[in-house]
Order: sequence, then C-alpha cells, then structure tokens
Amino acid sequence: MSDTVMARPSPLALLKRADFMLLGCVGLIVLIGLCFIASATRTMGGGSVAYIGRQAIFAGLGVGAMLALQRVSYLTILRHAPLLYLIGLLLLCGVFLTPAIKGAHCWYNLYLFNVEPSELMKPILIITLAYYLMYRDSYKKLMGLFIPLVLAMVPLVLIMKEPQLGMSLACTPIVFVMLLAAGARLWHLALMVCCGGIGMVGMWFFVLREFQKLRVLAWWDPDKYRLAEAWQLLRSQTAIGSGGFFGKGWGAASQSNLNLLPEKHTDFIFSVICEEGGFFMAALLIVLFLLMALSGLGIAARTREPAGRLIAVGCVAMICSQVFINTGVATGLLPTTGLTLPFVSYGGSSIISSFICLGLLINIGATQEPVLAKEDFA
Amino acid sequence: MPMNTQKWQLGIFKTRLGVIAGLLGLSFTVSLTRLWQLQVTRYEKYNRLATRDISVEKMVPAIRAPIYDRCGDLLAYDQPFFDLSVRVERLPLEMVSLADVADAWEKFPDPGAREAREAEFERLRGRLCAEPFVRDLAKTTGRDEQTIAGALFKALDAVARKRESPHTPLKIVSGVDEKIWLGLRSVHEDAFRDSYRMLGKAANGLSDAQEPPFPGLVCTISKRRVYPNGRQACFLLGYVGELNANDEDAVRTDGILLEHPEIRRRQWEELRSSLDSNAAARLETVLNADPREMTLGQAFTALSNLRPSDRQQAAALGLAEAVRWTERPARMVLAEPEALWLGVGLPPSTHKNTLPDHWIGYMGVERVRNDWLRGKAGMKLRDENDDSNSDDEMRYLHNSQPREGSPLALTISIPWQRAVEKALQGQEHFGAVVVLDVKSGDVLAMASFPDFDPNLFVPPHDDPQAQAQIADLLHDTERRPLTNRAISQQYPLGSVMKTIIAAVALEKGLLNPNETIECRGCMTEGGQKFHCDDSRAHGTVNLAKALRCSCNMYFMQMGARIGVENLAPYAHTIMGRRSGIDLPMEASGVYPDRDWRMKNCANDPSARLWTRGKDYLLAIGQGQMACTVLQAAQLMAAIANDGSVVTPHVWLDAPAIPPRSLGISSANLAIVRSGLEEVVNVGTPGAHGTAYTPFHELGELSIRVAGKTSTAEHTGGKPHAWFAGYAPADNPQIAFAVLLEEAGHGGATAAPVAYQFLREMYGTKRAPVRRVAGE
Repeated sequence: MSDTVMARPSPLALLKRADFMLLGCVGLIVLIGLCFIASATRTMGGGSVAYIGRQAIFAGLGVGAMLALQRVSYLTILRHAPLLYLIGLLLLCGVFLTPAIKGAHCWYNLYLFNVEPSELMKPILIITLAYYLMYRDSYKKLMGLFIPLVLAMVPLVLIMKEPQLGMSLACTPIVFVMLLAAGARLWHLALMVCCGGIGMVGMWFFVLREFQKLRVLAWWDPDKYRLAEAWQLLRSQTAIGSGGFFGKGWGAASQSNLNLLPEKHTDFIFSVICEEGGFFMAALLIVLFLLMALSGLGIAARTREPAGRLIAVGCVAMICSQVFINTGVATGLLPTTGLTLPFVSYGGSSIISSFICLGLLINIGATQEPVLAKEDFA
Repeated sequence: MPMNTQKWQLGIFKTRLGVIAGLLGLSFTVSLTRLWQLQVTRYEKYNRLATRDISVEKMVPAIRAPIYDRCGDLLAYDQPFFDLSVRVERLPLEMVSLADVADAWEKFPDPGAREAREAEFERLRGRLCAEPFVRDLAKTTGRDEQTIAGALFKALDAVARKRESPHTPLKIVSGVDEKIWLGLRSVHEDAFRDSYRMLGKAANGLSDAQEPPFPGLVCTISKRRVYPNGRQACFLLGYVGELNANDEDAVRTDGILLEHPEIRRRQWEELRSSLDSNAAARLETVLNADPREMTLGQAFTALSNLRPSDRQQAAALGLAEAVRWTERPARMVLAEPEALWLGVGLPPSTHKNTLPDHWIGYMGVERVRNDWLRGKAGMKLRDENDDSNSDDEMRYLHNSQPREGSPLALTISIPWQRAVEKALQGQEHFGAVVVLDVKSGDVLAMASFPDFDPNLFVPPHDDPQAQAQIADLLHDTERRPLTNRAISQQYPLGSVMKTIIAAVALEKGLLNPNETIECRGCMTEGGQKFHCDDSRAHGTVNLAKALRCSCNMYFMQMGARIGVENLAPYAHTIMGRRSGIDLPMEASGVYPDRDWRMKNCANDPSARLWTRGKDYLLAIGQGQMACTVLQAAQLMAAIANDGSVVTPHVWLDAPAIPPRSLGISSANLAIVRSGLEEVVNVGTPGAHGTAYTPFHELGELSIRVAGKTSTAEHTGGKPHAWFAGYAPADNPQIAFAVLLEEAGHGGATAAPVAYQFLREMYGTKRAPVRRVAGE
C-alpha cells in the first residue's frame, strides 16, 4: 500500500473538491428531517424545541465527525482496519454487560446520551471488508468467500442478539453489494442469495423470538392483529395513505398529533413526512436519496484504487438499504422492525454514523492520488 | 499484480457498478410505486380511516384508594354501592311507554302548563306502580313501589326528553344488598362483569343466572367517597368532587375537555353564517327570532325549550349540531391520561359519552396526591366507522380494566388530631393549630376552625339540603370555613418573633445573656410611641426575664442592634418562603427585607423606606412581617431541634428532605430554650412567665412544656393570640403553634388551648397518660 500520503490540505479545502451533488442532497435531506421532527414532536412532552435542538446538535456532531475524517486519508484508516474491527467487536460484546434499556442491550448509557455500538459497527464493517477484499482474488473461489462472510457474520450475529434483527438484516446487502463490486463470480453470488433465503426460513424456527414472529404474522394479516402488533403498521399506513398527493400540510398530521403513531419521530418519521408532505414530499425525499446514491457510485467509478472503490460502494449500499427497509416498513411492504431513516430520523448514533459514511465517501472522492499506476487510458 | 488483471478488474468493476445502480433504481422504484398505491390510488380509503370518529363506549371508574393515618386507621375510603339500573330500550313495560311520557311533554310544553303536566306525570307514575316489573322488583329488593316507580319514571323522562340515550344504564335503585344484587345479574350483562371486577372480585367464579329475571335491568356499581371521621382533619384530607370543567387548572392536569364552549361558539358562528335566508325564515317561525342574529346563548336557550317535533324541524333545517348541544352538557371532560395517549382528545365534536363517577380531589392530599390515589378507569373505545359490527371484544379499539389507585398513609396521628380539634373547637374564636414532630417534620396534627364536613361535598348531590349547605360553605366570606388557617392565612407573628431575635443577637455577639436593660414601659422613636404590654415597666431586665415577661423594650433594642438585613439570612430559613409542605395553597408569609420591599412596595415610599421604628416593630413581630401558623411551629421545631429546620410533610412515605440549618449554635439555642421554659414554668410573683397561669391553675402536666406567648396587634379588632412551643422541654419531641384570631392576650387565650391538648395527650402529674408522641 502506498505510504506516500502527502500532508493533507485542511478539511475545508478538501470539501471544496468534494462532490457538491452529494453534499447538497444530504444537506436538503437533513433539513427536511429537522422540519418534520419539529412537526412530529410538537405534541410530545418537552415540545419540539428540545428535540430539534438535540437533533441539530447531533447533526452538528455528525458534520464534525465528517470533517475530522478528512484530516487523514482513508488509506491511513484502512491500514488500521483490523484494529477498528477488533474495537467494534469488543464494543458489541461489552454492550451485553450493560443494564438493558427498554428490554434490549443496544445502548451504552453515557448519561448525556446513549451510544449505539451497532451503528458504529456499520462503517467499520465496510472498511474491514474493503481491507480484506481489495487485492485478493481468493473470493473468486467458493471457499475463498468463506472468510469475508465470516468477517461479516460475527458482528451481525452479535447485533441480532441485542436484539436488533432489523439492523442486522439491513447490513446483509452491504456484504452482498461489496462482494458483487469486488468481482465475485455471479453463480457464487446466486448461491449466496439462495442460502440466504434458506437461512431466513431457518431463522423463523431457530432464531426469531416470539415478538418478532408476531410482527411478521401481523404484517401478513394486519386485520387479525390490529389492536396489538399491527397497530403501529396500520396507523402508519393510514397516516401515509391519508396524506394524498400534496399532503395535509406541515403540522397537520392527525395520526401523529393524536400520538396514535408510536416512534413517530424516530423509526416512523417517514410516515409523518408522507402524511404532511404527501406523495410529493416523499418522492422528493426518495429522489434525493437516489441522487445521493448515484453520486456516491460516481465517486466509486472515478476512483482507481480498489479499496476506495469498495468502501464507496459499501457506504452507498448501507445508506440505501436502510432507506429501502425503513420506507418499506412504514408503507407495509416489509414486516415491522426498528430501523432509522438515515439523516432524517431523530437519534444521535444513527445520524452520526450516516455522516461518518458520508465523510468516507467524500474522503475517497477527494483523494486523487494515483495509487498503483498512471491513469489507465485503456 | 499484472497489469491485465487490473484492467480486467476495472472493466468488471464498471459493469458491476452498473448492476448495482440498476438494483438501486429498482428498489427505489418499488418504494415509490408502493407510495403511489397508498397515497394516490387508495387515498380515499385511508383518508376515511384517518378522520374517523372514536367514541367512548363505556368507562368503568376505578376505586379511589383509601387514606390512612400513621397507624393505619382509615381516614377516607371508597364505599361501593350495589345499584340496579335499567336500559330503557329493553324494559318490558306494559302499561306505560316511552311515547306516553313524550306525549305529555308534547301536550303541555309551556312552562305555564306545568301543573297540568305534573298531574299527567302523577297519573303515569301511578300506572307504573302497577307494572309487574316494578311490583316484582320492589318485592325482591324490599323497597317501596312508589320510590322505584318514581326513579323509573325519572329515567323514562330523561330518555323521552333526549337527555339520555335509551342504551345507557340509568340508575333506579341504589345500595341493594350484595346477595340480592348478585341474584339479579344476568350472564349477558357485561356492565355487571366490569363493575364487579372493579371491586377486585372475580366474577368468573360465580354461577351465572341463566335467564335474566328482569329484562332491561342492569346490575351496576357506584361508589361514594366516605370520610368516616367527618370533620376530623378535613383540611388535610380535602374532599373529592366532580371534575369541574370551569376549573381550568384541574382540567389541565386531570383531563381533556371534549367540547370546549369556545369550540361551540366557533361552530355556531359557522352554522349561522351558513344558513340561507329561506331556512332562516322558517326557523324564525319556530324559534321566534332570526337564528342568524342569535348569540350561542340565546340559540341554546331557544333550542332547549322546543317541543320534540320542533326540535326535529330545527335539526332538519340545518341546526342539527346545535340541537345536539342542547342534549348534553357544554363542557364534557374526559379525565384519563390513557385517553390522551389514545388521542381521544381530538377531534372534540365527535365524542358521545362522558365519564360517570369520575372524581378528582380538591384541597388537601386528595388534591396533591390525586394521581396517586385515583387509579385508572377501565375504558372501551370504539371506532364509529367500523362497520364490521362484530360483537366480540375485538371491535374495541381499546379495552382496559379499571385499576385501583395506591393507598396513602399520612403522618397525622388520630389521637393527636382529635385532641387538637377538641381543644380548638371549644373556643369561641377562629384559629388554627399545628403539631409537628421536631425530628422528622411529620405533621402530627393540623386543625383549623371553622371547618367543614368533607362528606358533604361528595357527589352525587341529590339532596337539595346538601346542595344548599355546599353553597353556604362556598360563599361564606365572613367565616371562610374552607380556608385552612394553618397554612393559607398569614398573621403578624407578635412576640414569638422574640425567640429568633434573641437567638440571632446571641449568635452575632451583640448580646450577653446577663446584660440588663432598663425597661420603663414605653419609649418614643421618630414620633411613634412604643410600649410594653399595658405600658407596665418591667424594670431591670436580662434575657431570661425579657422572654419570660415578653418585654418589648428589651427586644426592640436587640432588633435595632441586629438590623433587618442582618437578620434576614436567619429569618429567611423559615419566614417569607413556603415551608414546602405537601399541601396546596400554602402562603409564604412576609419577611420585609430590602428585596421584598422593593418588589412589593415600589410605589409606596412610606412602606418602602426602612426606619429605626420599623426595626423595633419587626423585633416584636409587628409591622409588615407576617407568618403562617405552620411557620411558627417550624420555628419552634428548629429551636427545639438544635437549629435544624425540617420541612413539614403529611405524606408518611415522602422521601426525606434533608433539614436546613437555622445557622445558630446549639449553645445559644440552649440559652433561648431555657428562657422559653421559664415562660411556662416560672411563677415568681410579680414576674411570672406569661404562660405560667394556664399551665398551672388546672393541674400541672406530667411533662414540662416550653413556649412563647404572643399578642399580635393588627389593624381592626382585638389582637391575635398566639402560643408556640415544644414539649417535653428537656427532650423535645413535638413542636406546636396555636393561633386564635382576635382573641386578645396570648397567655390568657391561646396558651390554654395548648394546655388542653397537651393534657389530653400527656396527662397531668396526678393522672399521667402513657402515650408517646406519634403514637
């Protein structure tokens, strides 16, 4: 690996070279998120000012983390991937020793706020996979796929045990897409998809807990469970559906104002956006995410350095899979599972981890050093 | 790595990137399609679902938890009454029908024809008596046929006039024996099950009566708050009443207004502006005025006096909503936080039923710990738009059982409370007494006179006599029997203030206990004349004698030596601030330091300026300063307790609040304490303590008491009499303060009250009572 990392220009100067499409999209998405968190939390204890203030601070911390990442080249970070991976695993294990919050071992209670190690694990997982996959071609053999899969499975199983099944499942596309981008053989990938499908069925019998099974059943037949497990789902669908094309207007969401919709400012913020902003606003948000993803892929396409390409693709996959799963849950396409909408949902760990991914993307985009050879005009 | 491999890799990477972009586009297209399906294609369906009507189908009130004294004796509890109610629509009446009652109204609608109508009603009631339903029910319950027929008629009348729905169970017999009540229940009534479950009894274990013996009869339970000791501790306990929708405060904390008059007013404005001239003209013939020019109040009166047929016409002409208003009270209140969670607070115009038997506390611990005591009502919410019409429990949006509140133990001890009230009620003057445990701040007794019977306020108020009594209590501005004089009223403290002056003067080194001052009985300062009691000269006075004889001259000197601002840090530990007792409506009292004067007397120079004369007045507890009886007892507790100021409280299990420090050393407090002991126990002729006589003429107590009398002058009327102290003097357990309004000399009137209750509790030397404080 090249150690010719030059003295890096200041983060702000680097940002100038950054992709403005990417930054613009994210800026707009965060703004939309803040607006609708304000609306969703109006009827909650403490009022929306407190929530908005905290979310703005979290977003500020996220931007800070993003800028801080520009101090070093991503290649330097990449060299420390094994160490990062180890720290991530330790944090994930350590969380089981802390007292449960809301019945789950997902958070470290730091008194000022709670930190979710699983959110931090996501960027680390991407870097680790990139570190392993960048030059090797062992993954072209079926047995060679074994190591990256194990690398991914260990943290995912830990996250699943917390229990954060949704988060864990949302990470599997990252692995798949990174292997795909790295050049794994197509029939190997097809085999993986098949095994994944069989694994899902197996999970129903061996892994899923009672409440998780009920959620799936409720998703399948909402009417039967409409007062309990499907309550949230039905409220969310009603909220989204009643928004219509142009929505009811900011602050006019009846389902949300009535506090009928649980978790409306975190996991179900998308329902509030759909109810108040209508199809128009929801589509705008999705298009913004799509543009963001495409410019992320653009960065990957421009990069000649294999690890950078993989990290960029992994980051895009991470954000997009969360967006797809979150909106799918809100609209009833997928069974209910707690997963945040990146850059939008209220919550510190989520937004900071999303900004870290963004920081990695920008870092890759701004690093223009030819690494292995001169520009290839082939 | 060979170059061609890299090239190969780059090529394949580009292709793969394309595949990934495609996958992305595909998944986002799926999301967008789903959104389009929900928001555009199925908009109608979801919009209907979102704007649905939630109605409260039934609420089963919870049992309000009992209140105990510190030993576990009951002070308040909910007594269940086994009632029988009827659903008018299912009644098997043969001789009288609902239509007959409605006809009577139709025939004699005018207020002038009241007598004719009453005669008609009397005839109907007579026919009701002959109904087999009424006769059998009277036989089974052992009640009078007339009474049952009267109650039944009332129910019929309410339904006929659309005041009540025919499905709602309306009470006709109250307080039936439980066994009879159980025999009358039917399996089919779920009102029975819910009500019975409210008492925490299992309804399942009972063998069910298969055929309801009286169709239409519903077994219900009502409850009534009972205060078994009547007036005892009424100010501490408070009382319960219906949630008064005008009490904005209570509504904010305890309920949600389902239909605010303001909303009605707005709706009325919309209604009348939407009326076209044709409808308005036809309405004018019915209402005798143009509805477009009526205010809400006028329309309400006009509509409620209409005959049923005219009401229908008015409704048909566009005033349906307004007609509906006349059928139920303007301000309905739903009083469950649970309802808030479910969001039934909105939209306000859609709710059908109000909550029966839901009481909230007023005054005292019933108010302060209302949330703790009240429990949670059971509630069934139904979706009005739900057309599935299934009869199972699933049709409810929400279905919860009532849950009883948590019992509350108070710090008061019934023997103390009884003794204190007995002593206080024997007086001809109004007043208050507080007894505190000096170490913990437990309020052992708190009494105020005149008082009231909380049972009187407990709904339902069917008895017109009780209603008149309540009105008297509420409007009696002269006696103010609902004012807790122990904490809500502030008085000049008078000579009790001298204790803290003495303590602070000693603490600051401004006074040597043996130092003497010559008292000539009076003096003049700034053109104002000050004098001792009756202008009698006390001669040479040291601290002990000054306290014993309550010499004003001595303490005026001391007050001037200290000065109002130097005294403030000490005085402020108790005065001019709320003690923090867990009772509502506590007054803070006044300590007239610079901050207070600047804030409260900004426009009154004579009150704002401080003079030497005011120092004199402050030292003897007169002038601008004011104090509650509780604060006086708190001061005595602090002196007795080596200077730790406890926070008084009435909830036994309240988390302990660490005491503040009065800031005076225990050596100095010991000097003050010996002075206070002399007030009661030194009988030197000519210089005896001001409280010596009442504590010695009727037999000496088995314990020694220490205290200070006070005769606090105020503008208008005789001075207020105080006696504040603690007992036993050598090992203080309790501190107390007695105040009698306008009773004259403290030693002559207030001290005997203290003597009475202390004798009751501790006994005299000859006949001691073996009791300990806090028993």
